[in-house]
Amino acid sequence: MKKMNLVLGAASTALLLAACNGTDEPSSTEEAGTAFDSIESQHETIISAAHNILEQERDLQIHFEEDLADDANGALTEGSGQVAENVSAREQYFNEIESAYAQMESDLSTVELVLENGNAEELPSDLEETASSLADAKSGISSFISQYSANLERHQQYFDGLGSEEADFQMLADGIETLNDSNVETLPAWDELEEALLTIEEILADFEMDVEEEEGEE
Amino acid sequence: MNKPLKLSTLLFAGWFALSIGVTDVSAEEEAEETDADTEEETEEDDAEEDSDEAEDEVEEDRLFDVPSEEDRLLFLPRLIPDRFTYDSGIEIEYPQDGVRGVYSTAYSAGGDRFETLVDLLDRTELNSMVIDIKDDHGNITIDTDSEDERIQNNSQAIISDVDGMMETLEDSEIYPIARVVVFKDRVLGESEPQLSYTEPDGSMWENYGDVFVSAFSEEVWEYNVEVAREAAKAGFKEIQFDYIRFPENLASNEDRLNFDYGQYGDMDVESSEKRFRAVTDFVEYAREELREYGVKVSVDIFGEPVRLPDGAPTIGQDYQRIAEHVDIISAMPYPSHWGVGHIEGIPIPDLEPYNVMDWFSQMENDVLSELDNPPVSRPWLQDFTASYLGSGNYMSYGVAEVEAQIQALYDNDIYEFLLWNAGNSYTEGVDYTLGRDIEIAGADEKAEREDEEVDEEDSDEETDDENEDEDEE
Repeated sequence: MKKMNLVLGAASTALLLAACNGTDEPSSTEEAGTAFDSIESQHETIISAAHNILEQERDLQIHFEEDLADDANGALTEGSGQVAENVSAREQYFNEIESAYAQMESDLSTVELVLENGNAEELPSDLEETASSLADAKSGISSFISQYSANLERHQQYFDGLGSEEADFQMLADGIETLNDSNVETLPAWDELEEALLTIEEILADFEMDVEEEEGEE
Repeated sequence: MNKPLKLSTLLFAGWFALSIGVTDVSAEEEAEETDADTEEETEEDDAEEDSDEAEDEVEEDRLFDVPSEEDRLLFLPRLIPDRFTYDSGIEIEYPQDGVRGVYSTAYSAGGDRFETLVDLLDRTELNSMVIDIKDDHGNITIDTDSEDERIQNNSQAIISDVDGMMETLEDSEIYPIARVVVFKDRVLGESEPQLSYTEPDGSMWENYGDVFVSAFSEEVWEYNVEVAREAAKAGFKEIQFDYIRFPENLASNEDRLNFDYGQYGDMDVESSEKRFRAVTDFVEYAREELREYGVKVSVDIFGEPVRLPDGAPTIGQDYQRIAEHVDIISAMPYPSHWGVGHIEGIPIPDLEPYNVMDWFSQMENDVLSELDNPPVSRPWLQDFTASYLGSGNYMSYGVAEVEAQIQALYDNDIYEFLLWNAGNSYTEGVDYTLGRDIEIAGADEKAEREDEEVDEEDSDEETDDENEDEDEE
């Protein structure tokens, strides 16, 4: 891919605002552009949150060991330990992914409305194809959300269980195996998420280049 | 990774004056002229660089550092709170200032000598007792509730009242260690020869008069671990596996003897490597199986493997490999066990207990320092006289000789030890801490409890007196 440096004129905002058509239904190229900006932003949010989840997962064993060492102080029984924080943090990052994905879907709906309502001659020629590609690509994110949600729930259940009075060695050991198996089952979802995000990135970059070339030809 | 430009900006980019710079990096721009003499070297370097770049590109294509299937998210930590492990009902803490113990046969522990030994520990800074739960013959020395038929058949109940024994140890705060002799086992070998080594005519093969069972046999592993489980259930806080090795003469006889290699038979490695693996694997297996019981796992090991970087191949003991899987390692570097002329600079080892133990401790510390998670070193010390070495090659061991060995340990920052005397008759008058300011585990608490009890008694007496006075009035 070519590396491009772009310097933008200072009056862009004013002109962009001038492109609004004044109707309620999204129909302008500007609204499509805003939606694409948002998609890009959500894409970055998901990447960042996913990185954070993986980082928390890498720390989980250390947090687990420290909580077991601090068991007398209720780290597990009262849920006041580092494992609880770890799971909570991952839930928070996971929620960020869910929200970003929901926003991404909403942004794509906006683009679809622009395609329905807007003036086809004013819109970039491959806007429809790009929107369709993005819609296909995002399914990998949806799949990840579905699978990781179940994985996270198992973690929550396990660590809650360890805090109970009934907890014994078997529960401790079997639960570890269950979580490890669950994690392995989630690995393809991570691949899907990664592939989806890379594809989205590529689609966005190609679209930018095409638009830039179209504008250059005029 | 290239970052996409803002899309809204680009969608309307034609409205504005844009300044676009394009940078194409071409391999052709690389310098073409190379020195002929260095061309080959450069090509090699380029190949390496290309390889690195290819790896970098693969890395660049990855957004996330996702673990592989082999990477475990969680594993069982070493430290498991007591509430998750088996509760035998016996509460004896690990001595805070380290184990200083003695060995007791089952006959001693189950007989009159037990009282003498407990008295010795009560009077001195000794704090632990190693007791045979499976002895050198293979007898299981306590009655158990195990449903394992082998365990039932091979139990002798030499210690007839194990509960009473444990209560006594608990009262005296003596840390109990169960010794389980593993692969030297005449009882099991003779009852089930297929688990042992047999001559071509089917008779038992003996190694210096001892019968061994095969360390390759997983049935043997499980049997011994089941014995250890029963010891843990009885209240022992540590399982010490002894004779975790192959018989010395097996290697020279293995081609003619009958025995089962088990899972190691198909391994495409030297037979010595099979022996190393079997012994190490047993220890690893036993430790994992005993996690549920919250006991520590220790092993006895010859002194010789410590100084052999590649282990002792005939018996299958590799000190480092074994040490990776135990909590405590008890080498047996008794001065008497090193042959005359065996140690450079110490011609007759039995005559130089300090020097032998100092030499050994330095060597062991060096080996342990190479491990990520080294076990505690708790060597066996010689509290016996090795008269069988013959005149001039031994001396009588008493207070000075035992203290010399302890001093050597302390001088090398080793603060745990076990005393070995086969007859369980230990030298009186030994200063086991050598005047060191070692906190006696639980001493403060015990003293406080005693003070409180005295106070309560005084208070009760005063109350009684007052009541009597009142009655009189």
